Amino acid sequence: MIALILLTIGGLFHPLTNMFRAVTLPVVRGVSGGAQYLVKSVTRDTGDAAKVTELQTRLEHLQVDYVKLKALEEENTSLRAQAGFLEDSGYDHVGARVIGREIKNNMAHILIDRGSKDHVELGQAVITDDGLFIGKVDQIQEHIAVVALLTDLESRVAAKLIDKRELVGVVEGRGNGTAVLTFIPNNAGIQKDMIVVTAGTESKVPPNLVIGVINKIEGEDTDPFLSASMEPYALLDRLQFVSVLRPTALRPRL
Amino acid sequence: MIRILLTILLGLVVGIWEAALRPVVPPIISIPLLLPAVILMVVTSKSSRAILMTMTAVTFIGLYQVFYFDLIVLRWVAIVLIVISLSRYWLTNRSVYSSVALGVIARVLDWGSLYAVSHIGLFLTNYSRGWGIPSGWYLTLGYDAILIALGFFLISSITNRFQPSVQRENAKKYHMI
Repeated sequence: MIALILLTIGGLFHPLTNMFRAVTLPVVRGVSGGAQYLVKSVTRDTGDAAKVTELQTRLEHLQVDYVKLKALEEENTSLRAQAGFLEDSGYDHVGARVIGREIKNNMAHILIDRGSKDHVELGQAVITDDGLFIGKVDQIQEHIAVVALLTDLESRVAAKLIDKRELVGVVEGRGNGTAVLTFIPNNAGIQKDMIVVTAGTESKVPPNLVIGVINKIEGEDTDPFLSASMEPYALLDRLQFVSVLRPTALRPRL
Repeated sequence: MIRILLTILLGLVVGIWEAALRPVVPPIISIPLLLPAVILMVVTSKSSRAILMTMTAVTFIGLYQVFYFDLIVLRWVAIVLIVISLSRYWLTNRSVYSSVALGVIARVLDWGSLYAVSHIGLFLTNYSRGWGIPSGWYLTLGYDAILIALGFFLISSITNRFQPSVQRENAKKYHMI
């Protein structure tokens, strides 16, 4: 028994597991996709809840548009001939379906149906189909990967304010669907309702991906650093399709 | 042979539900099927079939259980063996109460062993998080009890597995015919 456990830890069964996973993944993908479609179509007809969701989605779209406009404006003024975020930042995206989730207590992880075979790597940024940042790739296997959402207790991402160039702090997950922007310099001029985006200082996370909005600022005027509670824009418990951003250099050649 | 195939099929259905459907459906209908299915198999069928069904289901679940370090197949085989022993030597009467009690014991064993294994994994592997008891643990226990009771009543109403074994010549005496 102990030998069996040690062999499991040592990865002896990985090839067998990968083979079974490759065979069963289409079934899991199809069944979970069908269930998600069914759930979505049922909840779509439920009056007020559906209206709230629709308005939230429209708000997200507006925020994304605003961020894109700001980013373009900034780029234009610096005479950089860039037209679209993904092309110009040297990233493209791999679409993935959410096939599992573990969002409870301090943990916020999702399982996606893309892995190292699709050139997904650890630390790559993951966004919704609307372009909202949701987290980074945390674990990876051949056919699947685990994404740590930005509200996960161990999640950290460098952030800046939408209309600023410099880094303003670090978005830290606090579990239970919350996140906090920490290490904000006292003179950063941060205010409630400001939009926080990725800073782009991490190698696999491009800049200007919308993270969320500032809710409440905490700290005294004399404190060197402030912190602020944040509300993520993406509905992290309802994710169905996501995109993993990868450098275009890793795009598979056809 | 057909019964073995049906057992494997049942295990696959349970495995697909747990691995592919439960994570994506709303929490209110995210019903845990594995444990009630195991308990009902133990109390209504042969031990070997209960083990076969459990192994089929947890092998499938294990392919997509990647959030924690979890020796799921070994854990569940151990759990089902303990449940079989308890049902043979301790909770021997085939009643809905003993079945629910077995279910509660199995759930405690499941959570306890998952907690232990996942935390041991923190030292032995590169997993960074151990499993913790979910906030809605009482709902899981409630679902287990309801599903086991419903399954028990359903099986007892369509089969004669839980009928007292009274000789036919004595049946008249006991007003059974």
